[in-house]
Amino acid sequence: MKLKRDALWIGSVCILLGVIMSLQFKTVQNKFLQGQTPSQKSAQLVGELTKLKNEKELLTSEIQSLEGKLSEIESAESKGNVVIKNLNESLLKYKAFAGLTDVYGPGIEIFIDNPSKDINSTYENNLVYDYEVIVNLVNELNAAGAEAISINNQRILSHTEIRAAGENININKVPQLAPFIIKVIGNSQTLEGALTGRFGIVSVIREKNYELDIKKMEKVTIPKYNGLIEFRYSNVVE
Amino acid sequence: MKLKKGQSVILILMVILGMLIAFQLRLSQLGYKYVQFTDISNLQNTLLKEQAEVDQLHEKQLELQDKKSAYEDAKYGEGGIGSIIEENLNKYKAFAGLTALEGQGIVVIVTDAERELGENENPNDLIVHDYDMRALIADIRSSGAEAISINGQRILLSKTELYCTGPTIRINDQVFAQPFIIRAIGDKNRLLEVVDGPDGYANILRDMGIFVETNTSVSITVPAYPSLQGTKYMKNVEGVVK
Repeated sequence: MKLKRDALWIGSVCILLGVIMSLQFKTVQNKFLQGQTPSQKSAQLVGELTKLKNEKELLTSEIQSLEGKLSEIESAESKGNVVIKNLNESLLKYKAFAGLTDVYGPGIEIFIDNPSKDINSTYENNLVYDYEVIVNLVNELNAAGAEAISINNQRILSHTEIRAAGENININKVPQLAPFIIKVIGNSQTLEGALTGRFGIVSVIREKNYELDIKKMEKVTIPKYNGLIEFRYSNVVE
Repeated sequence: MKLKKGQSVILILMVILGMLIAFQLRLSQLGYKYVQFTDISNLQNTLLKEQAEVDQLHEKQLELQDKKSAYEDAKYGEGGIGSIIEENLNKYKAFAGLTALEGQGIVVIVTDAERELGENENPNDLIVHDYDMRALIADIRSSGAEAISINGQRILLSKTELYCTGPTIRINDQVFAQPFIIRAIGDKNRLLEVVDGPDGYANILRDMGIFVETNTSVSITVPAYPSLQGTKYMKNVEGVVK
């Protein structure tokens, strides 16, 4: 009875397979979905996301109205007083230099994304683990005379960090994912030329298979930094 | 008429298939949809990002509210608004990197390796490069440094370039050679842990034989960025205050 013995073997292997599969499903459900079905989980996430977006809109409009009121007070005061007027003007200059005002001007827009998945290659290029690419790009832009830079709408400040953190790159402590859109204000001819020169940084990045696209723009608008800056360890030297 | 054996098996399978399809249709009516795991992880990442942005806005809102109440107090008080504006001016000047700063922090000294060149080794392996300095600065910055300088030049990510120019490195349009002395203000213990830590770039340099020394200090002075250069291309959206 050879056939019967084979059938027994296959049967027991099937049972083992079943147990392993159910274990796998259980683990995914508990660890990744916190005991919910995928559709429940995604519905919950979408709900949270819309809530956050509403909150963000509310906050943005409130901040706008507060800023309007503040500048109203400032301009009303400076009408009657030359000293305050001068103070206000230099305040705006320093604010712009610190990255705390929205600015616009000619410049370039750089789009950079992970390579599309290649079945033939086991090694996956990912900008998150290659974040030096972004750091070097910013350095190159500074060398080419960039006046203001933002990455995915986060303004680059004097002490902004660009760092891989888990599955994201943290910029101004906000986690960001590819694709990255880098906006730069400066002489668009110089900026583009400095990046795309032979053996320049663009060719280095393209060699790593990342997708990169540079557009020269007549007008680029770069948002201000939205958070709070605070020095906890530094004191001003008079 | 009697069914053949094979036919009866197919009949049973078809019945089961019909039941499964009906079950599937009922499920999708109840709102169960097939969702890919990558979609869920994308959603989670977007959520993280939005949360961080909302936190930023919250901080900003509180700051503006404080500022507004300070203005209102000044209106009815004696000092006048001028003193508050001046205070803000000095604050923004410091944020922009245009004042010298002082505080606790670390000093990092980097010099070329002194060991002999091995066989088949490139002299470049023993030299400090601009990308080495950039990687070190990235480490320091990500550990929460508030102000950084190299050889007395303030490093601003928003303005400064570190660029190799032959045997020297160009920083803020001035040329410097090794040894490089980095000074950074911040939580001195955290800075030291990150820079000297197992993932730190300092250890990679040390493995190559390059000399890296780190020390904490209670008082470090970092100079101001050389100049508020005239901005030729950038314009304020808000326009000039009248």
